[in-house]
Amino acid sequence: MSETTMLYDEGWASLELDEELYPRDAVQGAAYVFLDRSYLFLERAGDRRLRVRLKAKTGDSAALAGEFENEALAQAYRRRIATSNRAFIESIAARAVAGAAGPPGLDDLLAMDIGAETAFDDPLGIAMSWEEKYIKKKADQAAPTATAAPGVVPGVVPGVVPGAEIQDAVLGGDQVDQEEIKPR
Amino acid sequence: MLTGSMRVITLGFSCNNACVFCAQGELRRGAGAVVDVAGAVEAVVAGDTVAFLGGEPTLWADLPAWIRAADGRGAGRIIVQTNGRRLAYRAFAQALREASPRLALDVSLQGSSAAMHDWHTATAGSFAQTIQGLRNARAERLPAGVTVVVTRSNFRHLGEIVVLAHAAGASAIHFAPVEPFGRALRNRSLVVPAVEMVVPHLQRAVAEARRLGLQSQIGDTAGAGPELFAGTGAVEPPVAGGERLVQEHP
Repeated sequence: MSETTMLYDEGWASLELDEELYPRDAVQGAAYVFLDRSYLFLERAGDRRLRVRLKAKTGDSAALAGEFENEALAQAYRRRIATSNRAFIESIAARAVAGAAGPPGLDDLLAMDIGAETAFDDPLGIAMSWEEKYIKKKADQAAPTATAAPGVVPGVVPGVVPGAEIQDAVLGGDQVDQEEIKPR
Repeated sequence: MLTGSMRVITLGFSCNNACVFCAQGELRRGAGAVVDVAGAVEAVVAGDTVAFLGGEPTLWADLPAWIRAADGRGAGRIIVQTNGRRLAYRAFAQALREASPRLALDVSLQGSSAAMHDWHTATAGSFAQTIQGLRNARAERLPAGVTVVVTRSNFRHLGEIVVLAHAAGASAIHFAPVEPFGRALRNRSLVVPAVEMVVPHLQRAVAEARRLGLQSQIGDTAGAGPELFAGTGAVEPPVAGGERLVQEHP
């Protein structure tokens, strides 16, 4: 049971919190939020109970104690959400890091095993049509893959007019004179 | 489709490059592009030269199986016309080599540098992958020829392309004119060189190929020259008045 007590002693407010409802991490998080507005002490009040003593730097400590309780509740709830979404968050973070690192380069191919089991691995994304790879705005319309059965054109995106889009991509929509395309 | 002595099997027009001179143009949208590949392979008779064309044939995971089937039908030579990028994976090159000892590659290379080649293909990184693909083909002892489409942006570098192709493992080189179809037609002012400017560079490139021991071929290929080249294949339907954009060198 959570039992909040308020004791006033020379401007200090004291709260006793049940750790079942206000986990220690949540209480510490709330304390961090209040560091700029109050003086704080955390201590153990008993088995599975925490005591927070708080004194407002300016103003009413009782009102600040009420705000502290609200913040502790919010922190506890956020902690629950973070815990339940941990795998999802880690997955997104891992993808972001991998994306920032870029695709493997040709040198990485040297480390690949050579054999029937890796013959169709495609870490560089070579085995997909140009439209499938580069016309991202249409990608959600999901073409059949290149491994589709005969009779199905791999990588064809319905509604895409590659000629125009590719021409824009290649030429930037402008006529480019040969002399402007000086190879290195 | 039987073209001369070559049986051409077109695997659709999907491609991982988007070449500025692509004669297939809007065909890559795909309508009616794919034949019954298994049926086409069944029609192969002993001694045929079979050419798998795209689009890009290596996009198909079934390609090694189709090559194996054509080999089983007694094809005398099997050619895959490719940009070679997927062969950057050594294991894929090995899978093709294991599919048939009669397989050869017709690899498109459009520049002597990454900037030159990748501009033509509109695909960053394609040069490095194509060169690695040629090297892997050599390592797997897959015969390979290189086809270069002669454009305004590479004709001055044909000799360098010959040297590069040789160094990467090609045994023959084919200089192809820009065909007046599809994207090439729409971009003609961008890609078509003046013949009189091309000729001296082409002559030097052929001489360089000869010096290095590469077979060379200029212009139409089907049924002629080194048995490594598969020709143009299907193109976007021509328009009235379409003429050859680069004359063959006499």
